[in-house]
Amino acid sequence: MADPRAGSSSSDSDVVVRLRGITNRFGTNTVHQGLDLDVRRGEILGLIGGSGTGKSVLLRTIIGLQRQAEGTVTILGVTMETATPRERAAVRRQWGVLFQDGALFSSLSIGDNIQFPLREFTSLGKGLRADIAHMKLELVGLPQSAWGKFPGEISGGMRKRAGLARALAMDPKILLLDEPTAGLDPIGAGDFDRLIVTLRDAIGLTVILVTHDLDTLYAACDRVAVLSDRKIYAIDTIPNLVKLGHHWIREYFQGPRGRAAEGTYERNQASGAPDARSAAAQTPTQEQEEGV
Amino acid sequence: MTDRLVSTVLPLKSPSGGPALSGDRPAPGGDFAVERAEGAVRLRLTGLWVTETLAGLAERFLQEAGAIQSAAVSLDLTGVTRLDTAGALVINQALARLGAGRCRTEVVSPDEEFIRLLNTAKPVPEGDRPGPQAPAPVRFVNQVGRNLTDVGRSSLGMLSFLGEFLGTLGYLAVRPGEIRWTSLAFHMDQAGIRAIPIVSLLSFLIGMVVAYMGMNELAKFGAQFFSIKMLEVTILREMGVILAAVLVAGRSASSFTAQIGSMVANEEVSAIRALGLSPMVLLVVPRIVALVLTFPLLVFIADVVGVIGGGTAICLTSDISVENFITQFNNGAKTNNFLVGLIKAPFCALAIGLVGCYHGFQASTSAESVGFLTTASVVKAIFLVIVIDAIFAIFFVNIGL
Repeated sequence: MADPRAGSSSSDSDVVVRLRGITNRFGTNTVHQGLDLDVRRGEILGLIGGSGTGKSVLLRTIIGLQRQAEGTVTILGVTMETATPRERAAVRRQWGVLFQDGALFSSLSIGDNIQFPLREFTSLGKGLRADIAHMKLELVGLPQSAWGKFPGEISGGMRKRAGLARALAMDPKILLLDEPTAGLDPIGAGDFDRLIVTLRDAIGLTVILVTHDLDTLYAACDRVAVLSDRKIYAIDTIPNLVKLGHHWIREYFQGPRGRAAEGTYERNQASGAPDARSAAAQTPTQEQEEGV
Repeated sequence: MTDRLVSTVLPLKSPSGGPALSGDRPAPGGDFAVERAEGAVRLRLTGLWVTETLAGLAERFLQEAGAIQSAAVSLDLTGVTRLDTAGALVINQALARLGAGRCRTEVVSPDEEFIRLLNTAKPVPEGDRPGPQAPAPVRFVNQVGRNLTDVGRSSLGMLSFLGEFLGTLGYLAVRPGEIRWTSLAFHMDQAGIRAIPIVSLLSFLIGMVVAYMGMNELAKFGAQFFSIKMLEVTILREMGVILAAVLVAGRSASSFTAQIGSMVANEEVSAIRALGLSPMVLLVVPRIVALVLTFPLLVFIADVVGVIGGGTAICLTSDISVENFITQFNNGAKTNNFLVGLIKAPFCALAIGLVGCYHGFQASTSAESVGFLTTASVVKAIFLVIVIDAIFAIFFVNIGL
């Protein structure tokens, strides 16, 4: 995509999240000004930008936690500003959000946390609800022994996975992740990257993630959107972004850390074990998919 | 087990939902039909098989599938318009039940994605899940035992905390340079001075009530003047200190617990220790010492204002004049009662401060624990204050004060 303007060429049915002319202000500080963004169905989109460029604010705008001053948010074809409360509620059930530290309800066990949306939004029987929640626990790669534990009793990485399981409880179409790998050890972060790709492939999610983790960007993201100067400066694959020659982007991807991440990624590609595939040994999903 | 049985069969009809068969009315949610022909059973699924539509449907479907006695069953997903992992899970459960009955199963699906979902959403066998909870009576006994050991443990913990506190006081007596004067002054202001308005107000009102009620009852015997004596004993000896203590327990024990607890949760206390400093010196001593120093002052104020309140009530509602009240009060009052009340104050303050700080250190990293501990610390502080008061009451009566 040579046109750095937010994917304006993609057809309507393919666009899951469409932002048009978004302006966000905090007092006199304008964070976004006339920002456009299109997220396509089934892609994993990374959102990057320097500190204070409003990555999290943008994520919160999409979720509706931060009301924009101007502009429209259209999700799955529903324009959120003009939609009826019913329509909005229906759209809200189509996304799952993973906050930075999982945001699990600390008074509920992991099992109850995952069942919470099911209990609130469906009239499923107790048994089936538990079956579904156990399956989601398996899906995000948590041991079943975590079921009865409380959020305070498990590690940060497990909390993120449990938060992901809760986000997936209602089988959302869109998954929004805020710094999914922040604070995880490299192995845990790598596992998480693969998990996201695996889930996308298995249940057809569209994923939007805010991250600073270069490994995640290389290993998981199909496209990366760069927030700069209150707009999406560009949205494309990493190699194409680097070609644009923007100083900050080059620095970001070709600084020492960017090169290291790129190197790892390329080694994995070369050895015939792309990151998504090498997850096969760890996640049951992938294994069975190959068995078909 | 089931992934061996799942197979893709090319669709016979158009994949776009498929036209409904005769008698197959597309339900607003999902539905299914059982067709039997020549020893083979065909389960035809239609409509939406997603989380929102599964209520009831799943149970019916599993029951129906479990009842099938046939050698071969084919599951036809051609009519399914939407499937998600929950729907796929239910289909997998049905397949598992059929497979357990030695039945050959086959899945017909027009959509690669459906097959992928079926392979993703595997039921977790009961055996892999954590064991069920113990039966209710066992849990009850468990809980009682746990609570009892908790009480024991927290009593021991409090005692050792008291020891640590006294040890730190001794240490600071030798090295007064380490006393945090600023912090001490701050907490004297927070826990003591700022409590004066509310303590005075409540004490005034309680004094009025005690005097008024006492006078009404005593007037029946024509002994109105004794209400002055009663006011003196009640307020100076008991009510002043109890009232102030309950208020301070609510104000300060809770705030000590919440402050220290959130510092623990935020690892600030660990940071203090890591710097080689003592949280006892930095956090606990200023708080408790401030309370022990200022609390007797609060009790004194409560006493004075309580007596004024009682006097106001008596003078307003009876023919006893202000001069008369003062004379009667002076004649009847004993310094004893005042001293007995005041001497309890530092002990109550110590108890309140210790309980508040101790519970703060019990916090874990969750915000919820701080909330629980704050409640516990207020309740325990008030409980301890009343116990201390009772012990002193017995002691003073026995030594004849």
